[in-house]
Amino acid sequence: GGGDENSSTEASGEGGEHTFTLTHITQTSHGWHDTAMKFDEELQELSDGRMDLEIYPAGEIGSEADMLQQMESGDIDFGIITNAYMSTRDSEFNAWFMPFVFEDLAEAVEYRGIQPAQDMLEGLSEQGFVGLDFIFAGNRHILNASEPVESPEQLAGQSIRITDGPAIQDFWDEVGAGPTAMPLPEVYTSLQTGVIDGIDIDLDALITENLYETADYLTMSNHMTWPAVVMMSEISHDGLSEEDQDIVREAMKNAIDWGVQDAVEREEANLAEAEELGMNINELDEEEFSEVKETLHQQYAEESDIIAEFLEETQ
Amino acid sequence: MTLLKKVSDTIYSFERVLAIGLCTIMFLSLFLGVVFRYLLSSPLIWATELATFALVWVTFIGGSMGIKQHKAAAVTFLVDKLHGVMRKVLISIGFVIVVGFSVFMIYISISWLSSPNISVQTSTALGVPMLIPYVSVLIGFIFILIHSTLLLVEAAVQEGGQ
Amino acid sequence: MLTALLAFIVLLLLRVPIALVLGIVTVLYIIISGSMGMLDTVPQRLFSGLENYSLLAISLFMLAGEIMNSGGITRRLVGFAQVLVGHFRGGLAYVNVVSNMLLASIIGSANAQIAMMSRTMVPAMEKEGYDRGFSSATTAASGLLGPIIPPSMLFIIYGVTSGTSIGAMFLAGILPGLLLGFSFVGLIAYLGYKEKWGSQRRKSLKEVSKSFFNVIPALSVPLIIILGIITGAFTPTESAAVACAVAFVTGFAFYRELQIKNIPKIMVNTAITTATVTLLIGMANVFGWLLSRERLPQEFADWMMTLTENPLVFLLLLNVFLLLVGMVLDGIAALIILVPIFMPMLATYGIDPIHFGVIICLNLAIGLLTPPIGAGLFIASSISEVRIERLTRAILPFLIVSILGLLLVTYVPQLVTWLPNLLN
Ligand code: NA
Ligand code: NA
Repeated sequence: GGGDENSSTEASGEGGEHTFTLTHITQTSHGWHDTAMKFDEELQELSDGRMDLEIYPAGEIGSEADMLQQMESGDIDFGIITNAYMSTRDSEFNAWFMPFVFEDLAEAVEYRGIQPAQDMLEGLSEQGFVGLDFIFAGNRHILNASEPVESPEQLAGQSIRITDGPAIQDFWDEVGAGPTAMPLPEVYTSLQTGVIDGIDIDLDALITENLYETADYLTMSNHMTWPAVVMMSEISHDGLSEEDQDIVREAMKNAIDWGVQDAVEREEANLAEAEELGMNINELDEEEFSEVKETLHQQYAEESDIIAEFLEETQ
Repeated sequence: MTLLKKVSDTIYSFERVLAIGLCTIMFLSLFLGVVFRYLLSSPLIWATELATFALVWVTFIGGSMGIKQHKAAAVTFLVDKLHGVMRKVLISIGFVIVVGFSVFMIYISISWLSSPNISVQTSTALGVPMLIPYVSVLIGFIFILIHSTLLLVEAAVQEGGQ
Repeated sequence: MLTALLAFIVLLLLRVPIALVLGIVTVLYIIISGSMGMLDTVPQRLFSGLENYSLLAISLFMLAGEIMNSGGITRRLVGFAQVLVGHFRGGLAYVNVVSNMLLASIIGSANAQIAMMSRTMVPAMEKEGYDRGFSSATTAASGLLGPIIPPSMLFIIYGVTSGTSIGAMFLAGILPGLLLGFSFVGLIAYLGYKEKWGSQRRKSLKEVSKSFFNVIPALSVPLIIILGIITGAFTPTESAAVACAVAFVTGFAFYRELQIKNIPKIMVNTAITTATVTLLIGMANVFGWLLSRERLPQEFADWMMTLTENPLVFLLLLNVFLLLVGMVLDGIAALIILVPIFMPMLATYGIDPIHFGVIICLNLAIGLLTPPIGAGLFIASSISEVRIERLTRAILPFLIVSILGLLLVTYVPQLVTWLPNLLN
């Protein structure tokens, strides 16, 4: 049967029942999916069973551009959209991609509530979304097929697969490596044959994409963190009574409080698994990259007040 | 009808030029991508994105050309079996549906492209406005509409369809 | 859904292009179900279905095929193969299957492979007196080996969505791939015997060496592709562009059959044949989006679970279900939607995830060759200019053999698991 999911969110007012929809890009084994399920639990509990959630994972209903389009028209209620994609729509989100800001993931998640981050979320109202919060995947590290990474000089001339995005691209250009765009499913064989030398990656993807099968050297660089923006369709949001809006916000806050802790634990568990799998793991000396860091921080702080403020608060 | 034919033919020659340009872009960007990464060790990050956008444009331009040239994949056995008026009627109904669908697609594409959120979208690698690749959907269906309207008129007027 | 199905059939019979039929049915379904908000997503989803890197390989392999034909490369490659095996009954048909098996070991996508081989093998076979429908069917069916013999895009995506080792999946595909390839050889031998195909006299050593000398520059095309992929110079997708360049140089500088004035026509042909296929894939994506939005595949799979507790019966139902899904959904989309649903069931029925992976991917690959929505079928049909109805008839024996192979793989799991277990 068609469309009943859509009409159910239209019924509003006291005691109305709501089956919300949420979509995200990751697999069902990923922490973001678990957080979405936690959100479902919280919704049911806080609303005494009036509200629940239907999840479309793994990009089942389209790319992130498609997801946002469906949220804009109010057809889908919630989205977990990568900060990388959001930064192509609003450059303020690049703040999170400033290199070597956070020691590790545990430190990064502590800053999700700071004012400049709130300002980014508020800016989303111009696009028809209600920005709710940030959620995190593991920090970015470097996986290399042939050698442990120790300095920028060593990366010169190497092809490193990255996820596209202006700040990420700028970082790797500044390092002097050759940033390469490639869809994730092609990475496995490309590391194997040597089309690419390495990949900018989080530990979760390293394990779930089985990339440890084709590349041995993991450098724990923590060079960037990897958030996603949790947001709601403004149409869906405005269709709710104030009480219900509060329930939704509280449920989401609880779910994400849980989700960021879960992400930190996953980071540790994934590292332990990588060790167990016999990977060659080294730590990166951040000092080697201090010039790259300074240059980029300065450049982006000049471009945006929010980024300047973000860097001030996090240093 | 002669005016319609003239418009359709002019568009087709224009589409030919576009198709040649787009195929060249598609080929060159992937090929140069390999050259720059493998031989010069400095990958072109935008190569795949540019090639992909060219492919999307090829789909709509080539798709419209295919409709004019009767090359689009279709099931023809029923129409092939029929003769005379029956054949003419069925073919014409088919074209009316294609024309109607094109009008519909043009309408929803305009509504989609005029949403304020389209203007904030930029592509990830090239950083160009997404409107540039997006508008191919609209242009493609405008061309399909013109070609299929001509085909409809021809099918309805001429003896036994095309 | 019934109205949609009816509309689908009627529209097809009215000779409306299949790509548009898919779009019209999707729109009709949305309007009938009353969720007008979803209509806005149709053009957006159509666009992003096309914004797909792997479709590039299809288009550029079509271009490479065109250039190879105009440059006299195909003629010499096929001529050489003819000299070697022409004295066998059905020689060129075997050449088709075997070169597809070799190509499958470097390319991971059936569609890209069918695009390339249809452009080159079908005209060559027709010239040697084979029926065009049969030639096109042989090519399309052998292209099915692309994602079964490693490397394979389908296996990679299965590995990721199911958490199975991709390396083990690659090993698991080898025996089923060889089994299918040699079954096709057997089928051709049978058809050749039944239809009493002729054969040519065995060529003299002098003729063989002359033909070999002639073919050396032409061999650079497959050789550079294979070497480039193995040494990591480029990906299989990029190899399509490299193939165009090498074919251009060979046809232009060595054989001097390719002329600059041919290029515009080659490009226009490529654009039209590409669009025939990609527009269909784009529209099928919109249709697939509607199915997942409405959760139809999930509901169907859940219902299937309630039918039986016997793993053998379950596997049979699974195959029927997957074949049906493969008929209407693109392989990669189907994997993303279905694998998470089926994974938890495997333990219940005691099925090995690697075995299951091969079953599901083989099913979806066969789906590429089945009407009404088989991308592979349409690629072969539009490139070799054989009508869908005729191609469907010609491909039927190959489909039957593939399904028998599928059943064998389903009920003899050792065919799949033996090699990965041996090497791990
Ligand atoms: Na393969
Ligand atoms: Na099919």
